[in-house]
Amino acid sequence: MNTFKALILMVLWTTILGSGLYFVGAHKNYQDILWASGIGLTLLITHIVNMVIYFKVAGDKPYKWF
Amino acid sequence: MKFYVNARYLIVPTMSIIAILGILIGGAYAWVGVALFGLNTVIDTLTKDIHLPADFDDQGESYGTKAFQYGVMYFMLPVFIALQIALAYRIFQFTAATPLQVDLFYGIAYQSGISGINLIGAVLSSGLWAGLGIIYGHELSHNKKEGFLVSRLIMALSGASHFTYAHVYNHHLDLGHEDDPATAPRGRNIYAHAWLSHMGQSLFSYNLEEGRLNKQGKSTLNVDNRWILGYLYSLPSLVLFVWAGGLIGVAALFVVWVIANFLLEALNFMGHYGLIRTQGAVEHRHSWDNDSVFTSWFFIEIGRQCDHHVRGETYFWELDDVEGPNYGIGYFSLFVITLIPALFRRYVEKHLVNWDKNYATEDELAVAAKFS
Repeated sequence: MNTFKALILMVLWTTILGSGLYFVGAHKNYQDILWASGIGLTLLITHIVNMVIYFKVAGDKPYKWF
Repeated sequence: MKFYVNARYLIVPTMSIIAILGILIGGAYAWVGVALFGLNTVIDTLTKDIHLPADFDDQGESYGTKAFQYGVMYFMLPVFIALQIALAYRIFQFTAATPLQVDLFYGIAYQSGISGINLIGAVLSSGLWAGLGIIYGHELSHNKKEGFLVSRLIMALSGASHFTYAHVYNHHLDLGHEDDPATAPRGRNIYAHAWLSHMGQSLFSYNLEEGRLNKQGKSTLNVDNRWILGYLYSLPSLVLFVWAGGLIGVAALFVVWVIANFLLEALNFMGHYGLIRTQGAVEHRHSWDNDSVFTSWFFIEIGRQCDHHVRGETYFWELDDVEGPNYGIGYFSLFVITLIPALFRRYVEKHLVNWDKNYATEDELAVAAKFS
């Protein structure tokens, strides 16, 4: 159940960041290297935060056998 | 003999370069990496009964040349970077709608522009060979000098730089135990394991760094955090693919990372599935060996898990058969079986029964009984 909750939160967080990128026009400017760098960094931070969300919500699920 | 022992480990470097050339030549050649993966599965299956010991001279010295083998492993970092650049180049052409036409480069014909179907082939080829290349990230993770950093950089190309710390300080120390997320318990399928093992190893690295930094009175959110730094190593890949193709580029890199990490976790899955260690040192019986000839040469002896986990600092070309638990088939063949969980459970049952009967201690059997 906690894994499911974590996945929902991860999808939500990714959607928020993805929408943010869309509204600032990332899809129109990505071929500008400065924009590409900013978008790349934003996506990386999104990924890192997603990992932390999973750790905090799902806890030690990867370490449980039973 | 020296040449033979050193040259036999060049299969992956050679095929990786062929896969890159396939993407650059374009057209149907973009699928060459996928085709090679299929060909390797056939060769591995046909040669599954050939098992060779490690080669030593009369004085017991290995024929392997350290400088050469390390040179090859370091060389693989720019090769995998080239693989990503080749894919990004094709994504750029696809999003820019470059017309499909045959051009010449120093007399060699290549297709300028790429169709959607062949771009899929290029993405799959890149993912498969980035994943197979992880064997070098694994081998170098056991190096305490600059090789460790090269390992982190190779793994970062697949968004998995955390692996290097987790593999050495978690997987090798806690093998066969619930504390090791890379050891798959009985009944788990490869798909669930890929997710749990990946997240578990990253969690280990996160906790490791949080503990280290907190002891120093520093915040977890810190550039000294090697877990964060590992992800930052992946930033150039992300920027490259965003720049090359926007959303399509990001989607392509996502697929490459998923395939690469799935193959990495498949190796963990195949190496230790269902084996249990309750206490004491890691022994040969806590790993599955896969040492058929093609697997040994292709995967630079990573299949000699029994020996590797007891002598983690030993160079791969010195690892040998220690008569531990052995599936008797190679990684490519076994991988195909693991993709069908019901088939894998059936296949592995006799091996687990044998392990319980001939290798397990009473305590380990007690844990095994909980899975029944």
